[in-house]
Amino acid sequence: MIRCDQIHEWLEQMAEEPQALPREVQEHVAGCAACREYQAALNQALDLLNHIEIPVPPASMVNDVMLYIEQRETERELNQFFFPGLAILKSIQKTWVRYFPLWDMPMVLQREAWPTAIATVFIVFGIFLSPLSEPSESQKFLNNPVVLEVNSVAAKLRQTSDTWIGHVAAFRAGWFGEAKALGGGGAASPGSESIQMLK
Amino acid sequence: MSDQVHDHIAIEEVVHGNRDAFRPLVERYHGTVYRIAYSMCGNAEEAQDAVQEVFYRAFRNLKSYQPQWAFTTWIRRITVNYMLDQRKKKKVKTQSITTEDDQVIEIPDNQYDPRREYYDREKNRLVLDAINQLPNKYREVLVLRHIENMSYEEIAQSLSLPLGTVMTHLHRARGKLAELLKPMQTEIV
Repeated sequence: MIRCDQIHEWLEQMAEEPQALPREVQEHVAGCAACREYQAALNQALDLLNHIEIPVPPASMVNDVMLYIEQRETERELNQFFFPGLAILKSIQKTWVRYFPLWDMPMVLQREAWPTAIATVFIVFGIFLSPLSEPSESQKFLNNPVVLEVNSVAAKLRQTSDTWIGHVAAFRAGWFGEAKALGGGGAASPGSESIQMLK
Repeated sequence: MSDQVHDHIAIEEVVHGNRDAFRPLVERYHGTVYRIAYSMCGNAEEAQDAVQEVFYRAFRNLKSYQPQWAFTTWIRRITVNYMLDQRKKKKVKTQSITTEDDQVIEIPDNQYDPRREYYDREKNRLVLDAINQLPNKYREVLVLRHIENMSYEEIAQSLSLPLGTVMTHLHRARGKLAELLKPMQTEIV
C-alpha cells in the first residue's frame, strides 16, 4: 500500500509526463481526493510556469551592454593608471572579503566614496599647510632681526668682493661663532664685530 | 558553422584584444540572460541592469572560459550566480502572495478587455512572486528547466551539480511552487 506522501513524490517526479506514472500510483490517485487535488495543483503550477510572460528586452539593449562594457573598461584602465595603490588595496580587500565575509573594509575603498576621500585629503592637507598654523623653529630663527642683518651684509660683501678673501669674510660674517672668536662674549650680538669692521 | 563555433571564434578575438568581437555574443545571448534575470527578480529594470553586469563579468573573465563548455551554458551559470548574489546582498523581502476573496475576476472570452490584460499581468506577478519565495537551490533549477527549457544534463553542467541532485531539487521545487500557488487557485484559473 503506497502512502499519500509517496504518491506526491511520484507526482512531482513525473509531472512533465503524467501518462508514465505506474499503474498503482494512477489507481491510488483515482481513488484519493487529496492526491487528485495535489495533482491538479501541481499541473496548474507547471502550466502557469510554462506560460509565464517575460517581457521582450528593449531594442537598445545590445548597444547599452556594449557601451556599459566600454565605460567600465575605460574606468578600470584609468584607475589602474592613476591609482595603482588603490587598485592594489582594492584587490586586497576583495581577497579579504572573499575569505572573511563577516568583516568588510570601510566604504573608503569603494568607488562611490572616492570623491569624499579626495575631499578629506585636501581638507586635512589644507589645515596642516595653512598660515594659521604655528611657525616652526627654523622659520622663527630665519625671521630673527640679527640673522636678517647678517644675511644682508654677507650678500653685500659677495656683490662687492671679487677675491676669495672677500668670500671668506662674508662666510665668517655669517657664522655665529664669529662673535665668540672676537671676544665679544654674550653682550655683543653674533657677528656684530665683523659687521662694524665692514661698515 | 554552428553558433558554438562562431562563439569560440568571437571569444578568441576578444581574448586577443578585439572588444568589438564581443558584440555578436551579446546579440545572441542577451535574450537568454534577460529571461533568466527577469524570472529570478520579477522586475524589468533590475533585469536590464543584470544583463549589463552579467555580460561585463563574462567579458572580464573570458580568459577563464573553457571551450569544452558551450558559451550559453557558461553565461547562464554567471547569470544565476549573479542573481543569487544580488538577492543575498539586498536581502530582498518578497511580497507574500495574498489575494482577497472578493477579487475574483470574470473574464469574457471574446475580444480585448483591459480587465483581461490586468488579470494576465496579475497572474504573471503572482507566479513570479511564488518563484521568488522558493529557496535559491530550488529556484535556479526551476527557472532553468521551465523558463529556459534546459535538459537535466545541461542544468547539472551549468550549476556544477550532480544529475540526481538537480532532479531532486526540481521535484521539490515543483511541489513547493504548487503549495505556494494553491491558495489563489480559484483566482488564477
